[in-house]
Amino acid sequence: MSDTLLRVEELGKSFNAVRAIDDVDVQVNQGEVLGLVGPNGSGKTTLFSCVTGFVRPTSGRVHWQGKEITNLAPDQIARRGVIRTFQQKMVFPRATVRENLTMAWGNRRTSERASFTSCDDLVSFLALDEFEDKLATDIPFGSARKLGMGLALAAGPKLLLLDEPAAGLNTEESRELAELIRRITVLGITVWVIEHDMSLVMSVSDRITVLDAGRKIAEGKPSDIANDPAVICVYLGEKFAKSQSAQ
Amino acid sequence: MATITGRLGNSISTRYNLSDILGARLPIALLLCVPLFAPQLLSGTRLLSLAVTCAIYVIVANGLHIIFSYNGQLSLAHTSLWGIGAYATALLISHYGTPTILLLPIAGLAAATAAVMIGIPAFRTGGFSFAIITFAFAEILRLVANNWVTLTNGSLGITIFDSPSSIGPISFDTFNHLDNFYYLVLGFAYLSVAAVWIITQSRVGKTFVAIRENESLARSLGINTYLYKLIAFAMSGFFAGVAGVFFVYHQKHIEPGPLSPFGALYTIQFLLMILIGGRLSVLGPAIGAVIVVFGPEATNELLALAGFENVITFGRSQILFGSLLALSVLSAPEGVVGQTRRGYHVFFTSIRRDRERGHGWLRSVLMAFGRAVIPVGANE
Amino acid sequence: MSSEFTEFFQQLFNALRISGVYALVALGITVIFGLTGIVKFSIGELLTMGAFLTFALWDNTVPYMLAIPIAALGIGALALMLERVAFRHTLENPINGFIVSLGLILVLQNVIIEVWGTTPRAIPPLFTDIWEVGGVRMPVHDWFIIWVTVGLIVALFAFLRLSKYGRAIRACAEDREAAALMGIPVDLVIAGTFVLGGMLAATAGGLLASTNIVNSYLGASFLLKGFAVALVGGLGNIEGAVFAALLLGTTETMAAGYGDRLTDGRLGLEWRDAYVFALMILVLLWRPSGLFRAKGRLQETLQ
Repeated sequence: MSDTLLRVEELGKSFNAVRAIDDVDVQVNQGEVLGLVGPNGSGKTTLFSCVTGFVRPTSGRVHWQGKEITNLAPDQIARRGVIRTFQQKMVFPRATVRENLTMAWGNRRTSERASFTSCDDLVSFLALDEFEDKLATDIPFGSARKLGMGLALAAGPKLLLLDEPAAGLNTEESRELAELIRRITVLGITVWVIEHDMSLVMSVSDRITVLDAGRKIAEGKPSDIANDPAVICVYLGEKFAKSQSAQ
Repeated sequence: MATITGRLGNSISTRYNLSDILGARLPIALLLCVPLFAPQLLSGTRLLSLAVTCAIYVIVANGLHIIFSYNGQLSLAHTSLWGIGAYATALLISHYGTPTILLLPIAGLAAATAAVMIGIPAFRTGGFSFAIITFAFAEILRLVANNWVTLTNGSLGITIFDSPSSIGPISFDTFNHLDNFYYLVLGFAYLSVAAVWIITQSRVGKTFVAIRENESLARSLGINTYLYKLIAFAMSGFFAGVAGVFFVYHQKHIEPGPLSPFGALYTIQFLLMILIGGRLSVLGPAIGAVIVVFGPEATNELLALAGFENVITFGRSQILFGSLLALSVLSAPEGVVGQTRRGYHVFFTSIRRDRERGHGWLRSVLMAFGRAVIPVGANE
Repeated sequence: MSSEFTEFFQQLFNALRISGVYALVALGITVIFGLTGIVKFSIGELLTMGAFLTFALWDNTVPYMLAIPIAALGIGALALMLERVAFRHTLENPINGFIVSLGLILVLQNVIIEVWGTTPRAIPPLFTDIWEVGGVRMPVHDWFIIWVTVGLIVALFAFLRLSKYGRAIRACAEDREAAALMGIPVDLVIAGTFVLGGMLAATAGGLLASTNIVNSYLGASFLLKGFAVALVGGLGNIEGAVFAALLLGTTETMAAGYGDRLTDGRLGLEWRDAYVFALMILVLLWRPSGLFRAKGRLQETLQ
């Protein structure tokens, strides 16, 4: 049984009247890839933001490696090894790929032993060599995404939170992304990934958590989730779910 | 808003184009030498005194440059930090006769400490709230200077009669040896530019820029942005404090009036200098300071030649500069330096293209000059 | 009435008058910010111009009560011109709007000096009687000011909450694109809001002409207080602005008055501004977006 790295207990977040996250419990175990799925607006990114300190939860607790980190500042949490990516504004725009990575690399404060010996190493790992000296705004979107992940990697994460890394990518790029995630786990980094692309999530995840309207409605192995009527209901509607289970 | 063209930009590192090296480094080096000849070029004490003031402004402006242009935080308390340096100097001289060599670091540290004390609460908010909080602190400092009469002598201010201590036979007496005093201040002005450059090249300086460019991202990577902002603020305060020393030696007086470093007038002046000179280059504030101080002067001289005496009064020059500020933000966001850079870039690329097309040298150069000088939009 | 009560109510009365003026300025600020995210620092100069213009009209035999609205309209026209020429182009990037307003401060303040010189002006109060109740001295003129400001604030609220135009303004503040799609002329709404803000500031200036000395620094002193009130109330929140105006105005007079008495004049009345700023700083540290929910284009500019 692997260690629990991150434990989210009874987390709740309300924005005025809207309950974005409602009593959610999640556990992320060492070495796994945990998927987080759910329809739009189900609170996935908010959950990430609460865990990483960008948003203050209204209730509940977050524990990292046994210690509570619930109301810490985002940079404090990041320095403990929990690093997230962003869906938008995920790079430093007016700097080259190399400069971006050097900034993240040079300010690395986590106590993790470095997964990379140098920035060049990281550039090759990300397969961004051809863009090394290009401005982050001048590279293709898929590569900018990779760069965002690269920045998080450079900072030395123990747990990497990827926020919809495949959004806007084509099939080829998604395949590359899945491969990249696999190589990240080989390095010993635990991954928690939000994704809409079902085939991608199914293929990379060891376990999947499903959110709907801020509540957790299912959790388990990809195959179990795919057949869970509650999940099907949420994505495809009640009628379809009923017809599925009737078969 | 315009994106940055050329790679002399204020990004996380600096790069140089061949055309920029050929075209820009040499003239810049020459330009930087001009102030060395100010005592010869400027006739009369009044103009030389103006040059001293300009040099002092350069130091203050470079301080603001660090926190505002590089770190992206709009501090409206900067000139009050300058005032704190000035008061520290005046008080130490009048009570203890402290030598100059000690005054400089002490005033710098006093202002830096004040900056940190303001920053600790102020940086807990961001953006506009931060600006207003700094403005509020500036006002509070002014009130303290004005009302704590036993310490600061209130609205009467403090007057001193000293000049910086001599170094051997070299006297810095501002009455009889103003040119020596000028060179002293000029030296520190050059130092301040060099210091800004060193900071921008360092990892700390680049982190300042990263925070400006994308603070959330920086935080997510473990960068303690709160601490870095405090560091940037302290640095900027130090510059301002040092400038305060020379201010007091020059003016022989400090008071908390509306036209003093504690007044709102100066706050906008330094933002003006930075924005006109160029927010994105090391030389921007210095160039802005020269323009703001000598621009009206030079214009008056030119107009005087044509027979119009003293057309540009202080009030009118302010109107012009205010309009210039508004205009530059709207159409030339990179200031004089940015436009010059763009100009060089356009100049050399235009020549190259015309030559590739087989045009003669004369035509290429003339066309390039025309294209470079006319600001055809700031968006490239 | 005992002298303690007298003192207390005296301060309260003084606070009312000041709060009214602060509220006007803060409302002008908050309404513009709530809609466009632009922090218009030059509004202080519009206040000064309103005061000078009112004086100029009054000096030319226009009755005071008429001079104020005429001056306000004039300044409103100026605000419109400034919006068309300058601020309109900064909508995408409100920080630029702020810097433009800084430039405008230089321009406007020095235009004021060019036109009107540096001699201070003042308009004598309309009413010279002092109404005394139980030892509390209340100049009738101050009551006049209070009622005028209350009336204006109520009218403003009615306009913003009940009228078609007010709804249009709120729609644009919430979501500019959606409002445009619904057929609301967003351009006009924004221009109108700038005019409104300018007129509020000018009215405040006009009222101040009879209670304060009018010089070119008049606007500057009310600018920061106006912003303090707007921030504490929550930028974009008009109810918040009014509440904060009362809060800060009361704090200023009470703290200054009692502070003076309790410290035997060592922390005298000259510290009154410091109390307001200190309170503002404390409130902002506790609640960075103000005491009440900020409305409109807040997120982009504050963080």
